[in-house]
Amino acid sequence: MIGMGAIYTGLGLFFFYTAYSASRGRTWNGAVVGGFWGLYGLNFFAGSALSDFSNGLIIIGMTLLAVFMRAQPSTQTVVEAAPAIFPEPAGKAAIKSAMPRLLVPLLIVPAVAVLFVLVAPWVQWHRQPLIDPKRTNQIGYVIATLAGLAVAWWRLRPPAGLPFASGSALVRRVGWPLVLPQILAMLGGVYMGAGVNHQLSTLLTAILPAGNELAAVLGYTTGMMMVSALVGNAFAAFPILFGALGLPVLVESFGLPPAPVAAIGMLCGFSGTLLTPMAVNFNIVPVSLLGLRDRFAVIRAQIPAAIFVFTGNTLLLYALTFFEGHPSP
Amino acid sequence: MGDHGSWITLLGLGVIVAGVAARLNILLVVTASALVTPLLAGRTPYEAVAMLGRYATSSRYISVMWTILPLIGLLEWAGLSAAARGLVSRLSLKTPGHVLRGYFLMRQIAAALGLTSLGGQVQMVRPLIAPMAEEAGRAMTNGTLTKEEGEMLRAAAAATDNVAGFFGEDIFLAVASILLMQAVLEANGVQVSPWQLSFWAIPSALMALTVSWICFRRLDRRLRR
Repeated sequence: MIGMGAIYTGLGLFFFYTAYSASRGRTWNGAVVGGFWGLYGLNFFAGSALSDFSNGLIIIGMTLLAVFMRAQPSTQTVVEAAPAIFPEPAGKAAIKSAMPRLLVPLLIVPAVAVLFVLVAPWVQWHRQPLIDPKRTNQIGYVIATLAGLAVAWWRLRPPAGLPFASGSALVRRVGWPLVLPQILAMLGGVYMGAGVNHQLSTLLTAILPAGNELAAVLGYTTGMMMVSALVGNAFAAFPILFGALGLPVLVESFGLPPAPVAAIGMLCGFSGTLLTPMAVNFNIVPVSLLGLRDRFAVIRAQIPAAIFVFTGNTLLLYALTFFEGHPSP
Repeated sequence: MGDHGSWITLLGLGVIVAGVAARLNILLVVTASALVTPLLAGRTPYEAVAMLGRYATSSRYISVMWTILPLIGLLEWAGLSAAARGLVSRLSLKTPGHVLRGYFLMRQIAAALGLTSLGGQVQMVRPLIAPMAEEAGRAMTNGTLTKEEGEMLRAAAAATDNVAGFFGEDIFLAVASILLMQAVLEANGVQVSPWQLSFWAIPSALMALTVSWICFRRLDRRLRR
């Protein structure tokens, strides 16, 4: 079966290469950056074989190195000239005719990814799926990026190694925020394991006044928004808030239908995700990708949409209590 | 010790609030909270570190999105950003608002059809949309676009991708959040069809569209001066 093992090994090698090219300058900062990506590469390359404790030490080591990394961004090696913010082309000639050659590989990625997800369940060998069904999306995405890379390589004929050199220069440009989506998922897992969800729902049911529709709706929607903002992710907040307020109060005692309660709650969580630096891959990674000086520039641009949709959804859910609600005595 | 510890465990969330408020490195804040929370719940330090390692390693699949970086690096070396800027005049997009409006619609409709991969900060915003918005701004102001305005347009491009994606994808039936809601509802003994859930995402999609339209117009008006 095609699983994630090979992909993790490949990514591990890519991060090892990033570590190597970062530390080539033999500076103090280069060593710190190199150490960070080396440890991350180790988590990918050997994570499945290492013990949980060793992997935990790797994460702690990366965290300590990241604290020192932020002070001095590395900009010394030759390849780093390539991904400036919006780099000029190597040869400026014939940009117009270059357009399809450049756009087609980029559009191949979503096309192949979708196609793969549709086809994967039928790819079988002796009635066993050849592709790990739990990870079809990720495997399809990797195959799609490789297809895009193959087409681009064939059409553009870059010097050997250039894609990986400029790719790893991009990794260093993004810096430590690149690992945060994964580390936030880790945090969600640790919270579950330590029983935080259970404690939070106990607390919320205790502090909200009973029998008041507006308070319950507000508590549920703002709770979804704030907990999502706190943990950087609406998916982690949803089971907590739906279990604590959505189901027992809004559905069971106020008689609201469960589908809008669930859907609107989740969307209020999305509003919270748009407002928090904890949602790193959406709000912080673009700051470094686009070379913005204001760390909160993206969040600032999202405030109107987040607040407007949140308010509208809260009112919508409250309005439903008039139409469909029949509070039990 | 009870299975779920005590309310003291919630101080682990307080670590996040305090850390973000003190503007500490977010990776440091997250790792600290992930270490402190199991300790507050009564685990030993060894168990806490092992928990970190176990969940970090089982979450590696999320980082798979970075496999696109060599392709982006190659295309940018070959002049993708310059080509994207050329696209602005060829599609006769006269203002950044035109660029962002077009991208918003495309991204939201694609996400509602389940094509969430047609977009993204690394895949689309950095190589295509941000340079296009900036180029349109430059053309609109006859080349007098300031550095601040340029960064404002790039941030708006990133925000457009997030807002259109977030408030579009839930209309599609098989997206992760719909599946998660269904699973949580089922675990609580409630059966709903994905259709019912995705129906209630439509108001949000329309509200996000409306407010973004207003924002894009204000953006253009600010550049027109």
